[in-house]
Amino acid sequence: MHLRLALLIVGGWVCLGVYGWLNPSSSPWLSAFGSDLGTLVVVLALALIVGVPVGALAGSGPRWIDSSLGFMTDWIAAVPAVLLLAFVRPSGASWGLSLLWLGGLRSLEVGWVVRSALLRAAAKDETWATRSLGYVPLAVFLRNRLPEAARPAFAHLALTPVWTLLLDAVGVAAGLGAVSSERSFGALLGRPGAGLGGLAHASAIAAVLLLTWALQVLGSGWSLRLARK
Amino acid sequence: MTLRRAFQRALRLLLTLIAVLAVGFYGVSTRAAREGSGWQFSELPVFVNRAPKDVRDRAVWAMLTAAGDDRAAEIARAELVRLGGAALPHVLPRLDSLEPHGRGRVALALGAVAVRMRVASADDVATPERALLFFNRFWQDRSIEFRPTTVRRAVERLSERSLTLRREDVLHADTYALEELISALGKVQTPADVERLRRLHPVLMHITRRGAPLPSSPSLSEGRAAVEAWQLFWLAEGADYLVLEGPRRVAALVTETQYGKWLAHAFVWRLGRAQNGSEVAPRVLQALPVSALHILALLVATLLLSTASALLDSAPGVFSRLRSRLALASASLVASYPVVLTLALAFELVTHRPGVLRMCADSLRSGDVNLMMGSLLALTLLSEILVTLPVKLSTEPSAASRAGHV
Repeated sequence: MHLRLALLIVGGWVCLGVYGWLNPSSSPWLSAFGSDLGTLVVVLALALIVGVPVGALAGSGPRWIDSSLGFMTDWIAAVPAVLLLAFVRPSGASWGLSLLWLGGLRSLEVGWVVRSALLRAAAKDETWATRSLGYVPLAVFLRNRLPEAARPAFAHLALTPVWTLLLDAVGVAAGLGAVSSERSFGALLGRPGAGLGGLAHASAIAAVLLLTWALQVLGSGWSLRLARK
Repeated sequence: MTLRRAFQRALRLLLTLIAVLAVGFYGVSTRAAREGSGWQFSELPVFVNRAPKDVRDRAVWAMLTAAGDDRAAEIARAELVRLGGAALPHVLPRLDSLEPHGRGRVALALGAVAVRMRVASADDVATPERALLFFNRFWQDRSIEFRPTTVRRAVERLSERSLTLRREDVLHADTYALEELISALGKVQTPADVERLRRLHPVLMHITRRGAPLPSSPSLSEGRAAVEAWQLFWLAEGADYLVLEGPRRVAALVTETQYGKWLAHAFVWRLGRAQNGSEVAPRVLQALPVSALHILALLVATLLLSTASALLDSAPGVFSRLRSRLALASASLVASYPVVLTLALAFELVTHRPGVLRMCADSLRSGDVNLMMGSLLALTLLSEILVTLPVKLSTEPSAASRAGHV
């Protein structure tokens, strides 16, 4: 039941997003759907394609990858993401470049979560024992260790809609500009009296929270399926 | 082992500080390049100055341009007057290389410098021919006085006691004596220091045509303010009056940049002053506890929530579950720490209780370099301290496993 509802919400988001994307001059609300959908697709794809392998390597590969990721996380953790993105993204940067920065930041976060989960899983490690019996560790790693990291990784990734909403809203409210796009929900919420009324504000927040919940449910389902395999 | 860990931690913190400050400076310098930001070094390169200009470069350019008869020549003549005595060793020996009319124009432009140096009357340099004649003789007679040791001695004598003759000796060197004069100001801590300042200040005012006269009996704080103003002037324009050679030229690759100037500000004047003239260090220290409280509250709230969720879970093994949930939440907190800080910034924006986070955002927006960098420095140290809590909770169980990990 939960899974079906989650799929329905994601499907609704995709439909509204694609419509808003194709008709940017429609209402600010629909346009925000399009903008946020584009951001989420790029950021989630980057986080999955870059973040998960980086985290897997840091948690299981050579020590220097772990140290490098640790250092990157360390120094990125020193400043709010909004400021960090404002530093590296001088005014006038393109939308695509902004999304790349956002995706890079999210990849580092996901990488750290995966790395931490793998290290925790290493406490009850079977990989090395299996290796002594002559099995290829990669297969065991993919079958045993990676599913351990899937749940926290998916849980973390599911928060991405709230994450972008927060960054955009705070960036605009602080006068530093929206992190992803000036048409996003976050930008509209952070700029008082910008096109949306109180009800529309509440609906925007509800839409983002619903999508977060849906992604959480889907992620949880996928990680369970991975663990069963 | 503990010492080794402490060293590693300190090294990591240092690297983090370097990285954060460099990235932060890049961001704020981009915004400070706009008009009205008040950042006086925006003309300089941000991090590396591959061709720092010294008095020789400026003087030769000004001489060659001033020899012409166009709008640029007027600017170059004004530049020659500004460079003053420091430009003479580079201009006068090269005068013969110019065509006669150009030579006369340059000599006439330098006439104002000669009058300021009190080595010529206005009549002596009233026409190009007279000015040329005067400077030919002047350089034959007095070029030997334009040496660092001679000027240093003259400034030392003046700072010990102000006699007309001693003052004249320094005035004859004009801007060539500026470096020695500024370093002779020293620190103002005792009445004797104020007396020394009273002797040097009028000479500096005469040479640079800047500054305001000191009160008849200046206090220590007034003395300090005057010295700070001269040091700021030297920080901004010092390289214009110096020859950059050898190690000094190598250092100028970094010091003659926006970042180098900010570092000098930060070290000499404890993070310097904000756009509105207030001192950065006390402002940052005052705002720091507000942000610390917000960040700490967010961290504790998240950890309490994860504890509550572990306790409410009905599955067996409460302690292992609690440890696991805390570790998971802490790892997420470490990974999302920039977002935690963003949330704390949101608190400050919503509650109108500005802390160092808000200060950082506001100063970045307005391009206030000193305030932004000061607040960023404090924020980095604060974050590094506060992130220790979730880091400790998230890595403790895995540390043992990491030890046996290849």
